[in-house]
This record gives sequence, C-alpha cells and structure tokens, in this order.
Amino acid sequence: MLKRKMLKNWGWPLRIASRGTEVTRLYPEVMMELPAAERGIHELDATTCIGCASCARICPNSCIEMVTYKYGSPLKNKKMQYPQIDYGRCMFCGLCVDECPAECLKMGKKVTMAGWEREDIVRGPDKLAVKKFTAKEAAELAAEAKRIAAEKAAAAAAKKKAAAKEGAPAEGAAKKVAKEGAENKPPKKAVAKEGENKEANAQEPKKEDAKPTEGGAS
Amino acid sequence: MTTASDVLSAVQSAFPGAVLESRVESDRRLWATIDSNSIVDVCKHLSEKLNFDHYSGAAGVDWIARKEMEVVEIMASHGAHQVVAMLKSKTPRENPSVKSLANLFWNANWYEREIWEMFGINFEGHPGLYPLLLGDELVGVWPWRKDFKGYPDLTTGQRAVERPTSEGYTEYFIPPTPAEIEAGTVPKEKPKYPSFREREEKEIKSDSEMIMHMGPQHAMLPGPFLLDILIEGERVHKAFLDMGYIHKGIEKIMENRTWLQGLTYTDRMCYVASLSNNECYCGAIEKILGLEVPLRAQYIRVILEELSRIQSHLIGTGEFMTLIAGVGYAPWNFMIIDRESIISLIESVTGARLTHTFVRFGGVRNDLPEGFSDKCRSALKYIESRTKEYIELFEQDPIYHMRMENVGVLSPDRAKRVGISGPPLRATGVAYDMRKEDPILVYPDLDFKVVTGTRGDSADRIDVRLREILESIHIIEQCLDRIPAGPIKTETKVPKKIPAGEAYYRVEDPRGEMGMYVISDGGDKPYRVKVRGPVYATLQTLPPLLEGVYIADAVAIAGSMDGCPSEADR
Amino acid sequence: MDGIIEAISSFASQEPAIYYLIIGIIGAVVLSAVVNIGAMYVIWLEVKLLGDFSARYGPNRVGGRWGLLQIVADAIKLFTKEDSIPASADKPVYVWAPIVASMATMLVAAAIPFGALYFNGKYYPLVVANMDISAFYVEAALSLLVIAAFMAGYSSNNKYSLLGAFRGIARMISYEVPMGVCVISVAIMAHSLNLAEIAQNQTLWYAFAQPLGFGIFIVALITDLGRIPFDQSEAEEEIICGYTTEYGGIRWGLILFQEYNNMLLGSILLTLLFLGGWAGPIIPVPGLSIISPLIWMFMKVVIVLWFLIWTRSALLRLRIDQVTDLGWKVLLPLSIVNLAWAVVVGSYFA
Repeated sequence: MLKRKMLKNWGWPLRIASRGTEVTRLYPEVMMELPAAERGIHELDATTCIGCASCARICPNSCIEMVTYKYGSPLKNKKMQYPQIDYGRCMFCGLCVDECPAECLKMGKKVTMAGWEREDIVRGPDKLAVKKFTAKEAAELAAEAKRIAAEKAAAAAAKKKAAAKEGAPAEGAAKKVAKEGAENKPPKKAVAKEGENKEANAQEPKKEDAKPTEGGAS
Repeated sequence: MTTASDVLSAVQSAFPGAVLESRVESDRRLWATIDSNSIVDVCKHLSEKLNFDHYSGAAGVDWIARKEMEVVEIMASHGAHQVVAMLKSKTPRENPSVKSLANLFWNANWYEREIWEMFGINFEGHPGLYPLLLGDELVGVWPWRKDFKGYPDLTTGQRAVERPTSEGYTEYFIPPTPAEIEAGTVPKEKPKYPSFREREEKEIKSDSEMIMHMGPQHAMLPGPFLLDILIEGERVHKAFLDMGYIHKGIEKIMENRTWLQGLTYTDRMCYVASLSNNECYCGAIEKILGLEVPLRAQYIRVILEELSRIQSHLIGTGEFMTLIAGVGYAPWNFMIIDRESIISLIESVTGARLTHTFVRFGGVRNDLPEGFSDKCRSALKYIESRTKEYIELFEQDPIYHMRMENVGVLSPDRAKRVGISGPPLRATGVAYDMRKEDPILVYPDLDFKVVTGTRGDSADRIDVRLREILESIHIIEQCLDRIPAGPIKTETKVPKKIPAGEAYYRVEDPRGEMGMYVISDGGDKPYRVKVRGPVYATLQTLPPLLEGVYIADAVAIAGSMDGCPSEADR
Repeated sequence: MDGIIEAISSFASQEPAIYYLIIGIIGAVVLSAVVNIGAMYVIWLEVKLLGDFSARYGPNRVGGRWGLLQIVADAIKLFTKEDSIPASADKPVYVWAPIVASMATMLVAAAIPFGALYFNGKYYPLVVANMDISAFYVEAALSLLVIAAFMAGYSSNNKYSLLGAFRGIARMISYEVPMGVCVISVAIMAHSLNLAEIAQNQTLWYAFAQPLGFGIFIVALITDLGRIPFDQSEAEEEIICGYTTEYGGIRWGLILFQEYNNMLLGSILLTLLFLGGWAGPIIPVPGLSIISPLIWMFMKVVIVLWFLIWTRSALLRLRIDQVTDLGWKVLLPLSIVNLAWAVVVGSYFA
C-alpha cells in the first residue's frame, strides 16, 4: 500500500484551486460564445420564402405549421403562408433548414426563449422573420401581385374568349387573388405580451414600420 | 481468410438442403435463409466448426404480405474471421414459433425474450419467456407486428380505478373503453408467467436475506433500469435486472417516419454516442443504395466520431468516479471540464452539443469550419496531457486499487460467451474492435491499434477507456493531416424512396459493437430497423457478474460497464 | 472586561442553585447559537472550497459575491419544508433520533473549550462546563451518536437506512477504540484529562511529540465524522443516503447541522489535543492581546477544516470491509504502540 504515493490525489485539486480558474459560466450575465454553425432559434427570411411547406413536411415532430403572414412577398408566396414553429416540440434537428429550397429558413445563434405561457414559445413568422417587408412595401407588392394576377386573368380570359366559347372557368383566378388580399389577418395564435417576454422581444430586430397591433406582437 | 462464400459452401455441404436461399453480399456478409427445423444445428455447427463464437443478436421481422414471420440470427466471430452471417428462419404468421438458441448461446436469452414480447413469436425450449422491455399489461398485444392498431390508452389518470392489493398497497387499474375493445387493441388472452417480483422473491432462501432495489431511481444508475440485489448483510447473493423503463419504441417509430426523419431518432437512443448512431443508420442505408461517400465526408465523419468517443469515455469515466468517490471528488469535474472543450469542438461543426443529426446519406451536413484544424489540434494536445494525468492519478492511488482491482473479473472466454463488446471485452484482452473487424469509412487507411487490458476487472475497463482516448487522439491527428478538399455530399441525388433491400451495418460505438439491420420494401419509410446496441449485451452480463460481491463492489462493477439504458431500451 | 468577568464570577459564586440554573440556561443558549452558526459557516466553507478544488465558483449569488447568505437561505428552506413521516416508520424513535443526535453534539460542545481570553498574564478558557475529565467525557458523549444513527436507521423501516445504520455502527465502533487510545496517550503526556489543561500544557505540540497518534487521530476523526473516504454509512451511490434516507425537512436539517457541528467540534478537538490549542504568540496590541488566543485558535481550526474538505475532494471511498479491516488490524495496534510511546516519553519528560 505504501509503495504507491497519494500525492497526486491531494496535489491536483490544490493546483486547480490555487490557479483560480473557474470554468463555470455565470449564465445570465456571461453568455457562452456560440459557433457560426449553431442550431438555435430559426431565422426566417420572409422576403424570399415561397411558402412551399417542405419544412413542415420534413419536421419529425410536426412542430411547423404554415400560417398567414402579411409582410412577405405575394409575388413569391401567393398564399402568404409562412412557417410558425412550436418550440415546445422542436428538437433543433435542422432538417427543415436542410430541406428549404429557397434557403430562407436558417438557424441562428439565439437559444434563449423562456416564457411564462406555452404560447410564448410558439413563434409565428412575425417573431421568426429577420427580414421582412415594411407595411408600405408589402402593400405595394400586394398591389403588384394583384395587378399581375389580374393581367394574367385578363390575358387568360381573352385567350379563352378568343380560342373558344367554352364559358369562363378562368374567372376564378382573379376572384381568388382578390380574396387573398383581404385575408391578411394576423396569425391565429397571438404570441406574447410585452413585458412578460421582454427578452424575446429584445432579440427581435424591430422594424419601425411594423405596426404593433398587426402581426400578432402586441 | 475465411470469406462469406466459404462459410456458405461449408454449411451447404454439412447440411444439404438446409439452406433455402442465400446471398453473398460481400466477403463479410452472408445472408441465408435456413430451414427452421435445422437452424439450431446450423448455428451449432457454425459456432463449433467455423469459429462463429460471437452470437451478436437476433431480430424479428413481420412479413405481413407474405403471411410469415422471420427471425434473423446475427452471428459473427471474435477475430477468427470477419464474416457476419445473417441467418433467417421463417415461421407462419399464425402461431409463430421457432426453435430457441438460448441453450446454445447464453446471451440469446434476452434477444429472444424481446422478439417474443414484441412479435409474439414463441421460442421452443427457451428457459423463461418473460417480458423484458414491456410492462406486464402490454404483453399479448404484440406491438411490433405490422397489424398492430395501437396501445389501449393506459396513461389517462382519470380513468384509473383504485383497488387495494392483498398486501395493503393501492394499485391502479385502467379499464379499457368499449371503443378500444371493439377496435381490437385489447389483447383477448394474456400469456401466463410469474411476474418479475415473484421470480426474484422465489430466490430468497432465508430470513437474513433481503432484496434491495438499486433502481429504477438510484444514484448509481446512469439511467433508469431496475437492478435488484439479493443481499445478506453486505454480501450480494444474486442480482436481477429488469429494463424497459425508458422503452421508447424507437424501432417502431422509425417504421412510421421517412428515411431522413428516422435519423433524428438515432440521436436520441443514446445522446452521448449520437454521432456513431447516426453513422450506423446512414451507413446501412448507403449500403442499400450503394452510395459512395466522398472522401472528405468520410474523414469528417471519422474525426467527429472519434471526438465523440473521447467525450463519451470522459463522461463515462468521470461519472463512474463519482460512484466510488462521491460527488465531491475533484477529478470528476476535471473530466467534465475537458469534455466541454471536445463538445465545443463538435458543436462548432454540427451546431448541436449532443444530438447532432449530422451524418447524411452519402455525406455529412456541414463542412468543417475555418480554423477547425488548429483548434482541434490544440484541444487534443490539452486532452492528451490531461488523460495522461488521469492515468497517472489512478496508477498511484492505493484506494483506487483497493476498490477496483480484481473486482468484477471477466475471463476472456466468459466475456466472449456472454456477447459483451467494447471496452469491457477489450479489458479482458480480446482485441475485438469494429473499426478493425468490420472496417468502414477510412479506418482501414489509418494507423491505430486496439487497446486491450489483461485482467478484465473494473480497473482495467477504466484503463482501457482512458488509453482509448489517447488512441482516438492519434486517429484524429492523422485525419487532420490527410483530409482532402472536395465535396461533403455525394453527387448522386438521394431518392426519397429507398429501393427494396436489406443491410446490416456495424460501427464501433464508444460502448461497443453497434449494429443496425435495416430493411426497405421500396417505400419512403423503413420496413424494419433493428438496433443491436452494445449496452443491451452489457446489461445482460451484469447480473451474473454481481453474484458474491459486496454492495460497494456491485456499484464499482455496474458503473465501470458504462451502461446507457436509454440505448438498451431504445 | 475584567469587571464584567468578575461580576459574572461573583454572581456565579453565590450559593443558591437558581443562579447556576440561570448561568446554565444562558450558557446553553449561547452555546447552541455559536455552534449552529459555526456549523452554517462550515457548510458554506465546504461548498465554497469544494467548488474551488474542482474549478467551480460555489455559491455566488445570495449574500454578495461570496454567497455568504446562501446557507441561511438553505436553512430557511429546510426548516420551512413539509414535515413528513413515513407511514411504516416507528414514529417515536424516528422523531427522537435527530434530537438525540443534536443533543449528543451539544453535550460534546458543552465540555469543549472554544478558545481562551488572555489577560493579566493568564489564560481564561471559554468553556461552558470546565470539568476535570472533559477529554474522557467528550469521548463518551461522541459515542452517543452511534445510538442516534441506529435509532434513525432502524426506525425508518427502510432497507437503505438499515444498511446505513449497520455500516455506521460497524465503522464508529471500530474507530472509537483507536481514537480513545489516542486521547489517553495525549492525557498521559499532559498529565490531565481536562481539555483546557491539555491544550495549555503543550510546550511541544503533541502533533510533533506523538506524530503516530496524530495520524491515527485524524483518520479516526474523519471516520467518526463520516466523511470521505469513510462515508460508507451514507454513501449515496450505494445506499441512497444511509440512515437519513427517509428524513426530510427540518428533521434532516437537524441531522445535517449535527454533522457539521461535529465537524467543527472535531476540528476544535484536534486542535486542542494535538495542535497546542490556543497557543501562539500574544499580539502586543492592547485590545487584541485579550483575544489573541482566540485568533490563533480560529486560524488553526480553519486550517483543520480546510484539510478535511480538501480530503473530500481528493480521495475515493473505501469499502466497508476495508474500513473495518483498517480500523481493527492497522489503527488499533498502531494506537497501542503510540500509547506505549506516550508512556515512555511522557514519564521521561515528567
């Protein structure tokens, strides 16, 4: 027994203690440095999202739901459907990001999302979007889309008329577009109340034009 | 060197007519359908004459369209040759029954119990067909059959009916609803067998003996499983192990997810070894597809898997130290600190700390970030010096030797017989490592040796792990030197529907031999995924090892196995 | 200062027994306050130092950067928790076990001098009951802890508790003997059984006069305190929490405080017996000279505590059979050798 020394047993902790290095992170004050590849909370580029819902399809936990959102581009995303992610179920596997054909869904470095209620961690496109159009731009784009659709419908109708006298089934398209314009309501699930979710709100890049009552982030 | 076709011809000549179908996939894989009457004889012949001394597991498959069930026996050898024989025996779907191998291979016991409780395939001659993973109330519903309609809702507390037991405890019973009875999700007749508690209480021979629970919640356990020890004073007379406390049914879930979605579930079998689980799953599918992985991706996979092995060994050893030293023991925290640097390295590539979902069919998700090589090298240098310090620390500590030496000794023969793998097997001196036996990726090009021990006791198991860290560092350094530039994903587009086929793919998990048996029927979802995890075999070995030791030794033995019940339960 | 002490002693020298009673009650209250607050800061020291040894911070929020009030918060939490008694427990014994444990500690504390005051060229030991056989008495009172541990373990009606109690008894009994022999060796050298006198009589610290006895006493003390490497009776990884498994809230708090009280008292005992007690150069500053023995005592006790905590972060736990082996087969013979040494050397110097 005595042929083995126990000096290291005592020496090592003492060496560590005397060095005074503390590896614990004092969490809320000192945040950990995260790598560029970090798979944190999603970031949505609403200006390029095409609303194809492949993210919702690949999600193994079905936590992505497509909801209506106003500040995207109706030229690219005709139905104005954007992903809403339920972080209570998300496991950050990143498959949605890999599947995204428009590369508009990314995962960022933000990881904190504590909230008081379950709805606080269901994040709609308004909270996910890092790039979106202002209300003015959105309206212009909507008008543009309407114009294009109307033109198309008119062209189609003209074509139809010219080609044959088969009735007017193409009228539906024009009507549909008009209907969509009216549909730009805020998403069903209102997200967070201010004050209760300061942290989450602080992280969101605030667009000065985004009206507080619209888009759900009241 | 014996190849698969040699084995096939040997079996065919020894048992004419017994091999109904056969396929030699490569030199290392033999697929054969054996006449179900002669499966025992064939296996006996394989193990006695052809050096197949490693019974690696068994899988059940329900071929509902063909109205038959299949039991696939996985046989391999401990280094005599590298052939893995997948022997199938078929049985009709009505009253399925095959011959048991439990009397031939000791460790077939648990695999057959699992197949029985999941598929309802009876094993003739099995010493005790008791449920292993499922609770008693679920036996008889045969949940992994393809026509299974879903469990009766046994979790709704409001429906629970209180009823007192004969011993004065209160039990809760949840009666099935009429709708469930109509839907046929309630088993009509349940098999009769003594419960786990009755079985263990039968062993109490005198008044001075008692059964002490170590689990499912106990500071000793790395996760929930039930280790009951029959003790007299401080002496353990017998040990009983029950698992299934975190049975998640991952294999069944994966049948209901697309191929890519299934990947995320492999992470969660054991989050400490998620990268090798990823690799195993993707490797099997690449085998079915015949995909060639770009060289750079192969190197990235190897680097990350070895990093993952380092962190797994560090936490495994560190956690174990708390078992024999208490949580105040400082070196345990040092190991966690070291592990942190490895985790950060992996995170900088994969973006996640534990559940990586990183490997893809035919490649990897991300490329290495800029400056990874330098960061990795400096971190490895630090880990190397620290690991040497750990080895030195344990070397000079008399209490460590008093507690660990000659505790839980496994002889090489016994270790081979019980089918254990990984560091516990290598500690006995058997150099059995999937990286050499069933080389994948770029492992054949790399220079490394298999670390082995001599005594096979707890101290050796820890020592092997620590020295494997050094070996892994050596591997990673070679990879960093050699890694070529190039694509990280295969050029060919991976189809959503994988063509019909089957593959068995083995990797060296930090804890031992991890194999996945994947069957595709040409759909967008797997037909069957069977996970042969290393911890399953480790846990099976545990009860006989604990006989006759002290309670404190039981902790030292169970802890040194580095078990992860999450992976064993799946 | 002189006046106060004279007043107190003249008050105490009055004949009626009621004065003794009053002095006794005041002494008991002051004593338990001092000992328990001391224990709180021993706990604080332990978590802080364990943090240091493993490169962590330890408590750092409640009560400033050093977390000085963390333990107060913990105590409040413990003492306001729900009090639950297992249905199958032997209730009276279960309830009394923590009380007996703290009583034993207080009995020990009563006879231990916490230090001394120095004035007029004389040391006045600060002790509640300055008896002539205090060393012997302390040893006897310490063994009451065995009874408390067994009461707790037996009454809980729990397998872990029972095993813990068995282990505790096996361990304490096998180490009480060498520990007692060491105390006797010291008493022989000091020609007294009074702890205060033992401390004062040390011209050469007994740690140097009988190094063997010093070593044995440290090992036996760690065992008695149930600390790593001898914490088998509450080895979490084997038997959950030993004899305290079924305890919670205030009752567990009492046991916890009793353990750390013991740690404090044990360190004081070690200091008194082997490290010269409050001996040290008197600081020649008017105000400080009176309390300078106290300062020395405090420093020595903190060093002993620090050593005990350091041990915890450095060593592994022994198995129970190895512990009893070590006690009976190694320490007991060695302690008898030490006794012989003490007799020879002690009589030579006498």
